[in-house]
Amino acid sequence: MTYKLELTKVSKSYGDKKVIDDLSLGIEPGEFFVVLGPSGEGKSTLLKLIAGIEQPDSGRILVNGVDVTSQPPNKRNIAMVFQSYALYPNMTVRGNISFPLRMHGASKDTIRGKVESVSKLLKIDSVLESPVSKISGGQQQRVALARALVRDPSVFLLDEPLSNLDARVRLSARAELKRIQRELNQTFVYVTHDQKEAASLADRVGVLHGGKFECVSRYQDMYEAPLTKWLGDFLGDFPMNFIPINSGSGDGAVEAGFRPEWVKVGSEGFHAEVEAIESSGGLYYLFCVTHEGPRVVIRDSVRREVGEEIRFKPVKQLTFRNGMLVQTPGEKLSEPSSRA
Amino acid sequence: MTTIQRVLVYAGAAVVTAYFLYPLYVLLLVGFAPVQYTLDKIYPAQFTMHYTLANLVTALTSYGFIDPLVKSLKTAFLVGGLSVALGFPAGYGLSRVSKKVSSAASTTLFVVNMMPAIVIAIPISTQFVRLGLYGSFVGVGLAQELVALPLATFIIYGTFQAIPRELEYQARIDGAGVGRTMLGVLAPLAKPGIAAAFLLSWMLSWDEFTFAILLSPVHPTIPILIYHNIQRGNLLASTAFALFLTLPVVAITIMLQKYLKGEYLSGGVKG
Repeated sequence: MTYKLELTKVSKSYGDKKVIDDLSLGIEPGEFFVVLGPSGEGKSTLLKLIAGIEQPDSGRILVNGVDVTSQPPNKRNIAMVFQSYALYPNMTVRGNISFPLRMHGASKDTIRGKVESVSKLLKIDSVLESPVSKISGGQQQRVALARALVRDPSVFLLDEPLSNLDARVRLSARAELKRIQRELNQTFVYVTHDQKEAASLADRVGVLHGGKFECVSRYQDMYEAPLTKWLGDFLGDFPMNFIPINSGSGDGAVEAGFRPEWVKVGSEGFHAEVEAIESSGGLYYLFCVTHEGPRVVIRDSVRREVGEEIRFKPVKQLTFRNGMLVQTPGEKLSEPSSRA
Repeated sequence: MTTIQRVLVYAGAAVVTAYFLYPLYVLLLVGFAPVQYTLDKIYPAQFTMHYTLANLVTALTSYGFIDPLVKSLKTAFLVGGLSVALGFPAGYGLSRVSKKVSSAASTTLFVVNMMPAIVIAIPISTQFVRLGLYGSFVGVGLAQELVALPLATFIIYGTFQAIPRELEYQARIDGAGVGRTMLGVLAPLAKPGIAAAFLLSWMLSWDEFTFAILLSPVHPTIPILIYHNIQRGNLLASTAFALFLTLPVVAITIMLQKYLKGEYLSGGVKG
């Protein structure tokens, strides 16, 4: 059975700081939803609210339409994997994985069977009797995941579960996580600050900023057409470039926004001087200062020199008025959902 | 380390160890050597080949040793037990409130320890006379708890601070109620702190003097018994009792020392 998770007008403050501000969200059954955001934007707080570790100041949390806001965490049947894995250090791998089942009063045979099958699925069946301190980081991460998978929770919450792994292991763990989620067809809420993770895992991404979702949509859509200037700046390896343009109509600051790869370097367009160069996989990112003043990052396939004068022209650009995206008629934007 | 450095380190350690063990050695010597080699001499022998159990047998049989021993044991276990029973929830609470509150609270904890015990003991004894606790091990234990509990709470508080909160969250999410989280997950992790708190409280009570002599002078604990015997000039009996005062401390320290080591929490939480 898959579950739908809804948050309605949830707010949470610590002292004077409003961490979650009147946030509403609906996550579909079986959806892989990624909460993306810079650190300190309340991503973990959001998960804690859903798990029941923190109580919202106002608002409601519903699982399949049932209000769980006032239920303690142990009654919510939600599974969670912490960034630190939070393995019980005094128990073996088996002890850790079986813990939730024991807490829910499962029979010995059920526990044995479920622990064996989930540990086979995650390839940790060979270390079942080892203390958790004696296994590798990758295995510890699997144990944490196994402990979440072993029971039949309504929603899985994952708080940057891959961030402590080596780059290589992280890649394979990411693919495996996606596979498991597909197989189980369960609702996942995954918190990360890693955009690549968000892009590869998520059905939908919610970008958390200032206690609200700046945008909820597919990653590619919000990358191509960020709804706000902040979002354009935040998404991508390099921030979006913004150059003020004279709108003539005079209603607020109008800017052209374009990504480094939307640019053609040649003999027309803006004049700029190269200040620094970063190379990446045969491509060069040029940090330039335009003659008009704004600094931009543009991508080029030719190696340039620092101090070189170049000209570039955006082949594609978006228009922002007062920091919000203006959707020009005729331009095809693949329906990003509205600001939640 | 070069060989010379190593030799020097061990030599230094040997000197320090000898310095601390010498009183214990004298205690053993007087306890087990016939008196003509030790107490009866102006310059007692530092080493002898003559040993006897007669000193101990006489001391233990003729000076009413058993009652004070039982009383001391009961008091010490009461103090140790209470320290854990009260210090565990108190330490947990302190570790989970804001820094501001906990640092204020943990400082005020020690107000009692800052006062001379006798200042507290006298009003307490008048109250205990009324309550019928005067002279009982419960009365002595409760008074000693005043000094032991702040220490125990502070130690357990420190242990809880070292336990990541996420383990507690995880246990709650995994379906454990408040009680099971405390006893099933946190208590095993806090074992080193609990052991240390128990051990220190137990030993604090075991050789505590001021409260014991004021609150129970007639039915004494061992330290008071030793004091009485020194007063009466029974040096041999005092020595024997002092040996018995020391041995449990050594035994308990060895028993509990594995919990006093670090690395106990490693491996559970990464990052």
